[in-house]
Amino acid sequence: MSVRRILPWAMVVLALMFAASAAGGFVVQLATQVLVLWCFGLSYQLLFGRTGLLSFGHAVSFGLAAFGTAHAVRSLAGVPVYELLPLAGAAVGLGCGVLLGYPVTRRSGIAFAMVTLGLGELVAACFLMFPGFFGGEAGVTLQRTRVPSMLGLDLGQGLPQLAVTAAWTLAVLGVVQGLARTPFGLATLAVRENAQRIEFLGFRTATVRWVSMLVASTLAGVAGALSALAYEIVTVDAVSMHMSANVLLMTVIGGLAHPLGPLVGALFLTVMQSVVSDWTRAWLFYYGFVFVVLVWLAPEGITGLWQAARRQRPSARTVATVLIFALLLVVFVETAYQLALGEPTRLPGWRHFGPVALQALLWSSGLAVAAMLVRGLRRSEAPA
Amino acid sequence: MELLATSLLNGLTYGFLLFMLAAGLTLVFSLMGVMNFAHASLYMLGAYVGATVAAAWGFVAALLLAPLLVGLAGCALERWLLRPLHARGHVAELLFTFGLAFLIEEAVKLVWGAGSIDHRFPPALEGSLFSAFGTPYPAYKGFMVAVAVASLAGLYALVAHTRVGLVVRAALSHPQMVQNLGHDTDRVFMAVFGLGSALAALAGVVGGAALTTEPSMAAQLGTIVFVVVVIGGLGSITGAFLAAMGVGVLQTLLIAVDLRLSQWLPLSAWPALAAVAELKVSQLAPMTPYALMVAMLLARPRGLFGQREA
Repeated sequence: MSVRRILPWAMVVLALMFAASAAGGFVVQLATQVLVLWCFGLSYQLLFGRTGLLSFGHAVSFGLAAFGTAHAVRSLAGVPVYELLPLAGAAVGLGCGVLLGYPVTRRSGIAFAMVTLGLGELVAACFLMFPGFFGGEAGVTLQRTRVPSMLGLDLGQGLPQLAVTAAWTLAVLGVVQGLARTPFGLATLAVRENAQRIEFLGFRTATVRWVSMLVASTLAGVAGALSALAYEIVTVDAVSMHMSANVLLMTVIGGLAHPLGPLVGALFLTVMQSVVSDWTRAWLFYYGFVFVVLVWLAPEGITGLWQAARRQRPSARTVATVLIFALLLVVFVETAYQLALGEPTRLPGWRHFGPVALQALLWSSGLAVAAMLVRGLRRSEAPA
Repeated sequence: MELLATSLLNGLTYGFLLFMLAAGLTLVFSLMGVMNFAHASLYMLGAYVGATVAAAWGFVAALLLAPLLVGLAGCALERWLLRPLHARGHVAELLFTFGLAFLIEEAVKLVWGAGSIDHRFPPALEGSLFSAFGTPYPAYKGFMVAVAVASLAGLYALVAHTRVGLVVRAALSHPQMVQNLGHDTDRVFMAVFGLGSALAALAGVVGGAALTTEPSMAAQLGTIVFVVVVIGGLGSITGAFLAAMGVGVLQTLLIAVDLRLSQWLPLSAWPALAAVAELKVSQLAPMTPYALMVAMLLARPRGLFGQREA
């Protein structure tokens, strides 16, 4: 991969870091979270987007690598290798890929999805069985400052930690982008599109799937290590179905085909998780709703929508309909949550515009029903 | 012996509950190729709707109304949401039902609250049916088995002995031919999906009363039902029955075994496996179904009685 190709990405990341450092602690934290999720999403894009393997257990390599890194930090106290710690995660991820990936990639399609679901649940069910490794309900905590930096960075601060995360994420991006251009990268696409034909041409599709899974698990391992180092705690949530679902939802929302997809998905999830969740209890509903609507109407995700909009500008009417629908949905959902939970939502602007919006919703839905009735009556009266 | 008998009975009861869910799921899968992630969510909806109806008009009304309502919802779901997706392939449908399960859980939390709700069997079903080795077998469990057997016998009679069932079975193997003969296969698909949903809801009404009715009940049972369907063989009702019983009995039996692995296997020879040797057999219970499923998919992807590979 040429320098010219990675330069814009590096600038995006640098801009993110500058913005974060200017804005202070919370934003640095958010930026780290975005980078970790981006890294994880990139590995999933390789697996699902490029090779067509829908996995419901991708968090296995992520989570086991996170636990592995936590234990590595404990045993490497005092050794100045901090910047290389994600390699420990990569090793665990690679191990997962070799051991679990081999049998799993003998299958594809729905069967692959089912096996990964079973494996994910299997590993998650192990966490109470091995409290020594998983730390039981409390999880495993670590102190990243106990492993000194090779470059003399002060890792107690958020910004140097962000820089390490950014460097590793860029490396992962480079691997994914570079791999896409190799003959192997093209083979994964071909296996996704028509496995039978590729088999006929003399490729071993199972091997292509396995290698793809190896790389994806390794990169997910890097992401797991980065998350362990960033949060300094790893709980069972990291290997759970919940995490596997998150990476799936996030990557599909961002877009499976576009290189920016995982970044958009990571940004979306982070904003939902860390910002919108402070405003409203309905954030999970919105998250799921966006996913379902995108799967139904725009399977290429947000980046796909963006590309389509650039090819052909949507009419003002379409944009207005979507915006009005979204607004009505938010007003409706917020009102419902308020009524059900008995606590006011903290959505910005709700105090001033909420009641007005609610009235508008009632009136407009009443008018819409009336209009539909009138139209229906006219149609039934019209001569056949 | 006493332990064995009670575990066996409890396991079979649990197996019947699993089978009610698995029967609908496997039927829908074999007709439409849709692995419905939201199937367990329909079970949960059945439990919640059942609890609400039972509070107003009694338990019998719940047994009738909840499956009817959820079945209609299932028909609507198939007709307006899943059918348009069908052309885009199974992965799109799988993703869609996955997201739908997510949304249904949120909706249930919104309407009924995040905690568990009060949903019990009527007082008439309290007390015990009979005693096995001194341990009473509760009457409500007998009722559960009765409901399962009755509904599944009805399903069997419908599929095997009626004209409608004939069309369904024909549509299973040759949907195009059935369509050419003038039958509306789209309507058959919708009806079967609705029927599967109604069965899941019925399981929810009794299962929710026997276990707990809470928003996590779908996730708890959902993956186990997948396991049952995959082990039994996708599309095979007989296989689903055997797998449901097997998984139910295995799980309850393992929980009852108070042994450490080191007592069975010569693990002490390897110090690295000390953590494994210290494990109790009962601790293995939650993971056994998944291990079985993975082993089955790798060794025999058709499952016990499946007609085709998963």
